[in-house]
Amino acid sequence: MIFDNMNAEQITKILAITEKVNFPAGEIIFKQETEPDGFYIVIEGEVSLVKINDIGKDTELTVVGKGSFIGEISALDEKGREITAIAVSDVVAFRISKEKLDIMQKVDYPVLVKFYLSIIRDINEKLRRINDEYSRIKEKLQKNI
Amino acid sequence: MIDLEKVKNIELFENFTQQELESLFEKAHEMELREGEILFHEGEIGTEMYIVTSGEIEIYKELGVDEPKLLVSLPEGAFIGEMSLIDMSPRSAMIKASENNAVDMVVFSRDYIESVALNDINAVCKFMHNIIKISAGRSRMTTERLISSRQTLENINE
Repeated sequence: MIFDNMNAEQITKILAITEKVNFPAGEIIFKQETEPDGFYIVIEGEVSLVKINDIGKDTELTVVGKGSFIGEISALDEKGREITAIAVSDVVAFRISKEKLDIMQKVDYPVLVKFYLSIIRDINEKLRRINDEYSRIKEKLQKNI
Repeated sequence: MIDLEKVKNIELFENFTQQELESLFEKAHEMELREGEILFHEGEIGTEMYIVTSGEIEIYKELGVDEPKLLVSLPEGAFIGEMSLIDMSPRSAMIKASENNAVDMVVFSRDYIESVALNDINAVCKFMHNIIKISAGRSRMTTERLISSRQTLENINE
């Protein structure tokens, strides 16, 4: 999915700006309201995306696995982390730092366009899931009132 | 060519240079909807996005409801279908021109954006980065709404 429509040379260019990182089960990958230092592509394992609600309670948004981007929203819109990501199982991921992405944004547009396409698709997919749950809850709430 | 004055203040293009705007809009197609005319139905597959340059459009929920339910009306400057442009996903709502006005739009097809990329990849990159930023904003907003509605539901159940 991430490397859809990319040739070997383009995939190599993406991999060249990544760094492989490991997170044991239970470890926090990044925390809500911190400054983003980049984003991750999950290669192995599962990651729980959690948000702290108004009364300070953690609530799980979704669990993502192999092939998903995490932290890409805050890394690309340059606002703080909106969620916390926690490794559910042992996780292997590729990390792309902000600096390296900035370099690619200056030099390699064709690869960047394809990479952006994958990121937009991934955000869109998550957005649909969140929207679906929101609509279901809204319906329930309307019945309750 | 499309009057760039009509598009340069739209969120999607606000950091574009004059040259990049020209690259993106130079050969873009325009189309018109008559009063009340339907552009597409919810669930249809499409690969185009549309930018409203004049008139008001209406967005309706069609599936799972007895009759189309108006969700929102959007004025000129609105853009719709940017996700279908990227992933050919089914349309998430029905779109039609308001009964009170005809609507002028610019159409960006997948093929068209690819052809622009051959000449000015920088402009296409910027365009996509802006789509990411806008999607990110929507995602943040929806996430907030979801979290607070979950809380409300929990409070009711307790």
